Amino acid sequence: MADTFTPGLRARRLANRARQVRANPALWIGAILLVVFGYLIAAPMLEIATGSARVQDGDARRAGADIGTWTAYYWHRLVASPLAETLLYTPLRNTLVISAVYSVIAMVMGVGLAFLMVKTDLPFKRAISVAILVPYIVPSWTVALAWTTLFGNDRVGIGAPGVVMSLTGWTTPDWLAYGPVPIIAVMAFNYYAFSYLLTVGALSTIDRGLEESAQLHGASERTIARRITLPLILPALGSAFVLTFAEGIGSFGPAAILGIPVRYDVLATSLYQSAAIGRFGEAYVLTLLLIVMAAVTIYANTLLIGRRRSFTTLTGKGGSARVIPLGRWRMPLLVLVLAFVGIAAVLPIVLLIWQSLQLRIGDYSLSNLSLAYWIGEVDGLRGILVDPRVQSAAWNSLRLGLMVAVLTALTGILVGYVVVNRRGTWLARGVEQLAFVPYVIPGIAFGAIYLTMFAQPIGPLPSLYGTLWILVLAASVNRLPFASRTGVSAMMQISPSLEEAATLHGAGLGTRMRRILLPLSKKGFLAGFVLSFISTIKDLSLVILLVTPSTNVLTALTFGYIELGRRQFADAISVVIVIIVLGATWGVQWATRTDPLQGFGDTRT
Amino acid sequence: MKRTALTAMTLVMASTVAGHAQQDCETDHDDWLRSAEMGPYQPETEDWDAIMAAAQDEPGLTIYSSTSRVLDVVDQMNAEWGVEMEALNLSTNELIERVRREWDAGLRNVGLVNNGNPGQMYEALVQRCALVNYIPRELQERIPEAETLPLLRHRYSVGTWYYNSPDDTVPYDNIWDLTTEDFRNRVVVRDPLESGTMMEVFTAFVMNADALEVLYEENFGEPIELTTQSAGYEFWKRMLDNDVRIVAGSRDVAQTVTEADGVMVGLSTQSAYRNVIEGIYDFNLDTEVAPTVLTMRLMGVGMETDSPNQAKLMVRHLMSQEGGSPWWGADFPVDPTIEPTGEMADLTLDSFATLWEPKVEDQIAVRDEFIDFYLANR
Amino acid sequence: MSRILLEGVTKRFGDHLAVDALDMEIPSGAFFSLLGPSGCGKTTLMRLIAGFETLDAGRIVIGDRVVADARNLTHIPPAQRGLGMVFQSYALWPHMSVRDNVLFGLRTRKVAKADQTARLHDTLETVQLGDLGDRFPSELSGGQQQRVALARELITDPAVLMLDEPLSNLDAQLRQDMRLELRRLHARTGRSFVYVTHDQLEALSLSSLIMVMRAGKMEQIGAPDDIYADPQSLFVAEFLGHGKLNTFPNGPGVPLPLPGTARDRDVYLAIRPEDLEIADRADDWTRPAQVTAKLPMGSVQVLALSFPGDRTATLEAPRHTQLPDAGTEVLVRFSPRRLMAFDPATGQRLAFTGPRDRHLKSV
Repeated sequence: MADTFTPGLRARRLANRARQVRANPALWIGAILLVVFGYLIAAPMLEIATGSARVQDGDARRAGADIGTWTAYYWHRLVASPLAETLLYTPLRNTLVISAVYSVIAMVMGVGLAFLMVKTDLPFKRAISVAILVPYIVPSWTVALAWTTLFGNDRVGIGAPGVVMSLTGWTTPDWLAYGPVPIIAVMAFNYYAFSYLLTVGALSTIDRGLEESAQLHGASERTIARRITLPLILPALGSAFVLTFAEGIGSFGPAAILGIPVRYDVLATSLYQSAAIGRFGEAYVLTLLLIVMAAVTIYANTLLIGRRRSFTTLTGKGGSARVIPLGRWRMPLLVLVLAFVGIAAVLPIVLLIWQSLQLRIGDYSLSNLSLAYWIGEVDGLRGILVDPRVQSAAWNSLRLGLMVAVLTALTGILVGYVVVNRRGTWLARGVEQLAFVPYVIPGIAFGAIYLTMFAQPIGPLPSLYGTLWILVLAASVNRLPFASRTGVSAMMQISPSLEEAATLHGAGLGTRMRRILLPLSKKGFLAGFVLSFISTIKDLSLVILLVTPSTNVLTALTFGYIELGRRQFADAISVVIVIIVLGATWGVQWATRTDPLQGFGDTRT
Repeated sequence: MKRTALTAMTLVMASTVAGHAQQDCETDHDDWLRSAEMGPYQPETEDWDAIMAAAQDEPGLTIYSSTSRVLDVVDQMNAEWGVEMEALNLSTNELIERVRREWDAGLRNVGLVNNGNPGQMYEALVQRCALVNYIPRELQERIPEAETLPLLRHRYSVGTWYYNSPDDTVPYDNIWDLTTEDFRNRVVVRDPLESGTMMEVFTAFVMNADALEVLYEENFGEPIELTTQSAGYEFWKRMLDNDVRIVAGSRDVAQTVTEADGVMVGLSTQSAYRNVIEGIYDFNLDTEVAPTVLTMRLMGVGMETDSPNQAKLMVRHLMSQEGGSPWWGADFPVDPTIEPTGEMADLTLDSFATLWEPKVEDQIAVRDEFIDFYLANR
Repeated sequence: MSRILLEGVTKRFGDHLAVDALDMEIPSGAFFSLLGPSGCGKTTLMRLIAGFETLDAGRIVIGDRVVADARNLTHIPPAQRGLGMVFQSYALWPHMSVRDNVLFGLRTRKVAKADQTARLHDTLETVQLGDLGDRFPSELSGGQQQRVALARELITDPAVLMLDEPLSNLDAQLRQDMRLELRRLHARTGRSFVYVTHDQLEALSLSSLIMVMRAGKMEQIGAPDDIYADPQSLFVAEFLGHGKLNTFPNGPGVPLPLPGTARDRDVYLAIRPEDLEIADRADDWTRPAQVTAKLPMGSVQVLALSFPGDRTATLEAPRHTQLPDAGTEVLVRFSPRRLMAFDPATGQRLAFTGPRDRHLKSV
């Protein structure tokens, strides 16, 4: 062979190789994504890792070494020092307990609802299915705020009695007002949508013949559910559990509002507090731990999904699921579901509105009602509807949400394209795994690193700092895991032959994207779009270090108000955020006649 | 009166703290300081008309502030001066972190900072040359130099104790009473990890351990037995053991004290007292028994800002009777010629029987250790 | 001139050798079938020819143009190879009407509007879909979808039309119809068809040339009749034919006198069910057996036979033949012209000498 490698041949090989790569867009798109992700995701990770082992700014004195030198100080402090129990082990235990317990509860709620919605003849399904997903749209910290409004007592925390205490005179016990129980409850209410949507997805793909044949053999509904249906969706449930658990590990909002007042720390709040007092070395160590923990659970998920694929396959034939008549249970179950939806979806919003109307928090008398926080003025601060800053922040939030949604939905489709087309190659694996990494990086750590990275010009890029673009970039990367999951599953459902047939007819990449791939992945694209929009608008921690006066967004304003203890302003803005998000979701739903949130199930598988 | 004495004490220390760093910064940024006429190049008499004229051509000042009231002042002055300034409200710690990272990244974004936490402001920002201390000449005549180091002070406030009791008298005779069983879960404080200002207040107890030791003996008739490094740490240890409530915001303290059934004591800044006068909250201010901690907000001009003249105008304006009016109703002006206004005008720094003024260098020295202590014991 | 020439064509997926150094030629105008069980590499081979996969070794020539050469990494994109391809799933774009699907290729090739309309009309007529242009794929039956897929390829008049198991998603009756249809289209267009299938009946009935593939290698290539009548390996013998091949590991059970090279060694004997006969009297080529069941199967009938030593076989005969009933003892004749012998180790055909005079060439 060697003698055939003449210089001419080598040049020809090179030219042909280049031609091949060009003709194979998945290859070069993948390569581009890999480079971009490497810079936007891997570099920050490296920064976190090295940051945890080098003396950080301002720490020279306590670390006993010069800034920037290598040190085991932070690791030692968190793992083996007398403070380790407080800084790491207790929060770690709490995190695990909270995540495990809330995941189980969320699963029970989600799976139960999914069964009722898919497999029974419960009335008003259409309306209920819309309401069921509202809690996912409502930011979790607003639900936590609502909880304190409901169950607060005068002994812990802000000491304002909640609705329950004010109306009944019953002093709600501390464990109900603050700490693990309410954190678990709020998180379960906020995240049951995970398991709900995954279960709905799994239940809908079950071939009804499998259940009907059991029925023919005389199995009761209960037996069918237990022996046929449940085992079939078990892998999906396992996957839902793992993802719910992983989400809980990094969850900040509920623990911050319901845990910090009673010094009940979880890793995320511990991390936040470290960062807030400028202890970035410790924050980096905690970040790494969170990353490792989330990575382990995600790995468990891929194992589960690997098994799952073996028996639920997408047929593309969306046959309607088999429906079990509820009989005399129909009405009682309807009442139960409506009560649940009321508590999960409606109550928090009502409470927020109510509290935003209280001149003084905790005073539920009519005379205390006021529109001051909406359209008046308190302490020299204008009501949110008449404050031009709030208006400009709302506009920024909208723009940010839209830009991030477009960018991530497109990137997600590209990731899906590469992953599906190059399946099994290291390129596909690299792109897919890198795209998933931001899932496990806490938003606040991201913000801090992006601030440093994009403060200076990078090559042809000017410094992005102070522009909305740095927010767009950070939020997009933060949303990437979800968008790429959506993209991958959207692309999976497009048979490669559909694109090959177009290739055969000489359609270039642009034509294929425009005429074949994008139209066919419209649903996934929309789901990714809406979910990115929602999350970006309601995300709290990510933006806080990156906003500037002209790029301020609603969530940052809210957080500012909470820190100042001006809860009513925060409540009012939360209500506005919820309205924007609900409006956007329903708007898309109405305009496209698809349910974008149903795509949420896909984003998780 | 007391305040002047206290500040005089810190003068020597503060100037040595600031001296060295300032020297280097002046050398490194000589060109800019010369063009901006700041630092060593600040003229003996400043021509404010010329500054105003120069400000018109500047792109626009960015202000980072831990007080949201600056935002309204900026809107107002933009209209009046015909310039395009903007302001961002950030929490104390966040603000310092932002300026530090921007500076390290070579961004000269911020033109003026108005923030608390002098220790961190000095260590993280002044030493870094990120901020330059600018005092209008006319103010230099009225404000003692000690009150302009390491940065010009915009205003004072105090970390002080509120109470709510059935007979409206101070429910304790001595600060140490708060560590007794009678006050279990009856004291509410703002989380020092959430608030840089509260960190100043908390650490002031550590710095004044000797005074606390004396107070302890006065109260219990025997010397204190320490389980921690000093009476300062001991005080907080016992407070935390006594189930002190920790809340996030200053409003939360006011709220808790107001709503309490029976005796409740709070530690926060005096500014919430304005809401008492307005009728939103209901509690009393302890000016007699417990020690009060002086805290301050500093102003520094961003080194190499593109709008130094707007910064000068803004500093001068915020220090003035009119420009500082959003604060003079609740906080204490540094300039003795400013007349307190509003409902709280009667309350001055002299109203507080015991006023502790933490030193910047002590704050820097104590902070890390105190955070560790607090994390371990809270 | 659309002859397809493969030289040493090799394709690996990781450790799996999908196509193993394959040499062959598909003559211009042939109806060429790639036949083999699933996983044998036939679809991969077709995708290599189409250009959807790149070669690891060897080269592919279509007409007189080298379209792929692993040595210098030549890889002509699929669209420039002058091929059409009907996918197993039809790959009809669900969001486009029949018209848009069929016209897609003409549009990307920027064919003039008037020409497009004319060709659309002709092609739809050819596949008998005249007035369905405005429908969407989901509104069509399986057979209609199949025709749309054909129309989409035929409209561009490719030199070679590749079909990847195109009938596998259709029901039996429709399959029969479409087979005729494909024969008709092949005759009418005069183009080369490359047809991938695992259904031997399809391959036998449609093709002018069949290649049987197994584990990435060519097992046998030839005309349908030759391949059926004269399989060169046990694998081919078993894979082709509609009844189960009767096989007899040589031993005391069936001590038949064997000619030629098979005489002095262990062999694996096989005979197709339709080649067994009921004999009137015993001779060297008959063995006694008992009829254990008689199964009428429409056009044919099948006898289940049991030989001494627990050996079983089936005999197939046209439905009007008189056959003994179950329980009857019969003599079964193994016609030496039909009997096949294979090497038990390699599965290769062993040649006979003597009475059997055709195909003496050893494999």
